[in-house]
Amino acid sequence: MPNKADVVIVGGGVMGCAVAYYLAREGIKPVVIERSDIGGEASGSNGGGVRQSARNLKEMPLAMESIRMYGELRDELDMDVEYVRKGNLRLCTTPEEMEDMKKSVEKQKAAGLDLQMLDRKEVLDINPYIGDKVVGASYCPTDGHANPFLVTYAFFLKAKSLGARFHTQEELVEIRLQKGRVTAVVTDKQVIETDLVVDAAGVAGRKVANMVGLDIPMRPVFSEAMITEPYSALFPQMFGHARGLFYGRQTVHGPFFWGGFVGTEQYIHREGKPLFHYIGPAVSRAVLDYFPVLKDIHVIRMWSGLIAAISDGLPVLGLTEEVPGFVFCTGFSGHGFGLAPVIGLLISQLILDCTTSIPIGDFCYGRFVKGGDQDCACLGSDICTTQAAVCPNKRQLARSI
Amino acid sequence: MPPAFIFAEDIAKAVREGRKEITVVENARISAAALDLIKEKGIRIIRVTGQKAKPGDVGSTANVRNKEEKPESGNPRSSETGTSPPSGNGSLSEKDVEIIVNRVISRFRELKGEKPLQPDETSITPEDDDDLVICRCEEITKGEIKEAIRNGMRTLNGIKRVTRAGMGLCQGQTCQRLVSQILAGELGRPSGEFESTTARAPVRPIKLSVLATG
Repeated sequence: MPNKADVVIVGGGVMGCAVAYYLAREGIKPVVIERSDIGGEASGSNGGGVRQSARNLKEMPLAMESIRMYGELRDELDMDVEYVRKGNLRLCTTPEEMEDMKKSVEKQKAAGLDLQMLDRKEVLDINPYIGDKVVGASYCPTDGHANPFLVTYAFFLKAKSLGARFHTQEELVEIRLQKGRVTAVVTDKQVIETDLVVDAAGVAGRKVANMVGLDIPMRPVFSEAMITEPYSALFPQMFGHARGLFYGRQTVHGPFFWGGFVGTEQYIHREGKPLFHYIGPAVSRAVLDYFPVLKDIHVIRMWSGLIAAISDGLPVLGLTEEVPGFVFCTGFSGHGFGLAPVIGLLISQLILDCTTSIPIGDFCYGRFVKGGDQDCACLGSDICTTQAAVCPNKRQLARSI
Repeated sequence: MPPAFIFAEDIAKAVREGRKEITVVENARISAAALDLIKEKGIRIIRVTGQKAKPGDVGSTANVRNKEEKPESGNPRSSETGTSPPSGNGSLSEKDVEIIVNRVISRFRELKGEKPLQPDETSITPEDDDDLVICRCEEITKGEIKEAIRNGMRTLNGIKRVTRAGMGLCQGQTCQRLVSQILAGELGRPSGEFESTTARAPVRPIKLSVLATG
């Protein structure tokens, strides 16, 4: 009997699992291929920020819908994913940073986000532990954080219970094309016939796209983070820094998570994910500058992960006319976790109905290949007009099941 | 008393005799190969409530795990080929035989290119020691770890992420070997096969203010 699937999703991270869930909810039974274990790469090493503030304005509608969906995730997936919606403070230390932040806040407010500038006193009202250096911050009360492992796991379990099949410890080897269309997926264990492949492979997303002759301007950017011992609950907010020095939060279990950048990360190209002796101390110094109260708390682990960074910092989503049957869902450039539910939903809508409830034209593959932003017809539109021609339209299939 | 262990051979016998059910004691262990056959042939396993193999019997799971893991500490290959040393009395216990048979079967399956044994999701039964705390830092029980494996986790890193076992102060120094043994037991494979969780700095907890001077 031929091994067939309606949809094959490459990558069992939070995106792959979310797409699988929203498809399974509509009656499609996707197959997910994952080379390690569920949530093995970035979904298993990120900071868990669920935020709208400081996003590219193009992503704002997605982020706002995603935050709404996160609020319902617990009931939707029958699991407490440790979602905390207690705000995000982006701290400023100099008047210049305050000026820049104000400008960015105005733009985001114009895009419909509930965001405000706070002076030092107002910041201390929200979080009394903040150190002397901070002169102000932007505050978005609807931002928050969640446990990335559990969100991924919850999507995975729910998708599985609805009939999605997951093949972990299995690596994609080849995507077969016939007359330019996707016809099958070959892994190191089996061949699966399918006319639709979703590239949700995160940092490996470029490699997967290469398999069908497409390429995207993505490179892995190294990122390091640390976790401390548990401590009594001090603050529930998520933190960021005006210049991106560090970010972090206290998890619901008590430990503090801190991640940060020293500036050289994007030039690190090493096999595996080593730690660098200068990054941890630099992040520690940044954190202590802003939270001196934490000086005696112990760090118990540092780790690193890879960010699938796209040249313009925006994800690549949707179909392409070049290879019918290939769906991009990758390149979230370090801020994908907060978008996971909405991306899962939109990609499933695209596969089922050829349309999405929020336009994703700004994220199309065409923006890289058609002479830049201006020439791609789909920018700002629902989806590419050319995409519509290659739309899989699986709704019929879902109904018949 | 109904049997405390079921091997593939028992199932095969039942099938030959045209039986559709097999009666066993409540905490009976069923070999992974037998589980496969049960699934394939649609045999029903009836557990007699109230009748248990006593702890300390050859069938007790704690014993099995210990015996199963001992050989691996030295040379994992020797155990794979079935030279697992019996403990003490010089002859192989029934349980040792089961372990060896399972290993041989999985080895054959591997050689034939078949998929490695997967635990039958519905057949994993609760065991008496499911509430045993495996990760002391985060207070994670054996039952929770087994559930993660049943749900599809196949690596120590994966189990750690979803259960928190190994995320505490000691970073898995106490529980990682135990978790690895549980995973090995559930999948019917030698525990040496599993890659350990990623080792990361710092070796011991270090104050943020000290790390900041680095």
